[in-house]
Formats: sequence, C-alpha cells, structure tokens
Amino acid sequence: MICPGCGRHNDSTAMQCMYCGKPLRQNPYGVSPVKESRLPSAPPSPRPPNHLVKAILATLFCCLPLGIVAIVYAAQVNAKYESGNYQGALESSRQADTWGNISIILGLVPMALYAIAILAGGAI
Amino acid sequence: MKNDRQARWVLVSIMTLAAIAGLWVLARWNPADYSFFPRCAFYTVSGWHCPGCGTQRAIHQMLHGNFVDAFFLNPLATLVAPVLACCFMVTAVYRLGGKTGPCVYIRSRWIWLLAYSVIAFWLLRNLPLSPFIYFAPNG
Repeated sequence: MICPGCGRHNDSTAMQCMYCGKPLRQNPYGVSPVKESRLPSAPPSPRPPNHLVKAILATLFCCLPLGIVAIVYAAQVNAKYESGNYQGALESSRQADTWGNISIILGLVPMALYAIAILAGGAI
Repeated sequence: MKNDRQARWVLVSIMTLAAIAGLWVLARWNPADYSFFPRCAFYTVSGWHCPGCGTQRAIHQMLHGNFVDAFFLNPLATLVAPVLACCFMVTAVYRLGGKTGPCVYIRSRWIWLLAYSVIAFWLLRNLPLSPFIYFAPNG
C-alpha cells in the first residue's frame, strides 16, 4: 500500500511505513492503529483534595449545619473530578476547605470560651 | 524542598500530639460526669440534638471498649470513627512519604450517601417516636 506520509510503496501487511515510520491505517488484522491525536497529550490532572475528614470532624464536633455544607462540597469535588470537570473540582475543593474552616472556627471558639469559663469559675 | 519536608513533619507531629492529648482527656474524664467539657452550642440554644451530640461521651465509651454504649450515645460517630482513624493515618503517611505513600479515593456517590445520611440522622434523632429515640444520646 501507499504510505500517506511519504508516498512510497509498502507491503500490504506492514503496520508502519518502512521508509518514514508513519503508522499505516490498515494492518493485517483490520484494526486501525491508535491515532496520535487520541493519545493523552498531557498526564492526567491530580485530583484536588476534598477535605472530607475535616468536614466530618466539623460535623461531629462543632454542632453546626455548616459541616454538612462542607461534606456536600467534598462530594462535588469527587463528582466533578469523575466527570472530567477539573476546574469545577478545584473550585469545589476550595469551597469545602473554606466551609470546613468556618465551621470549625465558629464551633470551637465558643466551646473553648465555655470550657475556660467553667474552669475559671471552678477555681474562684 | 527540604524545608517543605520539615514543615510537613512538624504539621503531622502537632496534629498527632493534639489528637492523642484530646483522646487522653476524653478517656481520663467521662464527659457525662464533668462539666468542663464544652457543650453543644446548637443544643444549648435550640434544645434539639445536632448530628454530633453525644460524640464526646461516645469517644469516652469507645476508648474504654464499650462500643455498644458508644453506639447508643451517637451511632454516626461510632460508625465513622474507625474510618476517620484510618483516613488520619493514611493521610499522615501520604503527607510524610510524598507521592510514594498510599492514597484513598472515595467515589462521589458514597460521599453523597454520607451527606444525606447525616441530614436524615439529624432530623430523625429529634423525633420522639419509638424507633428513633435510640438515635438520641442515651447515656
């Protein structure tokens, strides 16, 4: 067959052109070789952290509904990553982090003040 | 690179020591008997149990091996505690060992299930009906 790259004649069973190395579209098994454009051009993006542990700890210890918001964002991180929406997953990751932190600060500061007040009151 | 590695070691060490200190306090004194443990702000204000109510008492019972008592104080905390402990250790190894350590991935459908479960648990444990009263903290 004729190589589409260099135009020279190859054996009909050749997988690639014996002159220029270009893959030939037809091979003896009738299966097209993988086109170069189909191969991933870049390594897959790393999965953004979903901060799920922080979200669960915030839900259990901080007694605020905000921990559940962080869990929902953690689910969105993985859901968007699974569907290939990397930018969306990155944004949900930031939201999960932020809501986990807000929940922990709003929950723990009053609790710490309460514990200090009880201990101080007991000492007086 | 070296400073980054040192910073990760310091962070993991601080978090591990804080966790051990917190667990030691919860094991040494029973939150059901001592008042210096912080009370749930949501319960104090509204009178309703939040998904986390009973967690401190449940941890105390778990550290003393009483998993059934812990379950009736907060079933959610008792069920997720082993998962959280595993996640903590795996994450610590991952942070210290860079990319060579193990890495857990939980598919999104399970996290959605967790979110719905927490909301359902929150509503159900406040119902004064027969099967659901066991979801409220029962000391």
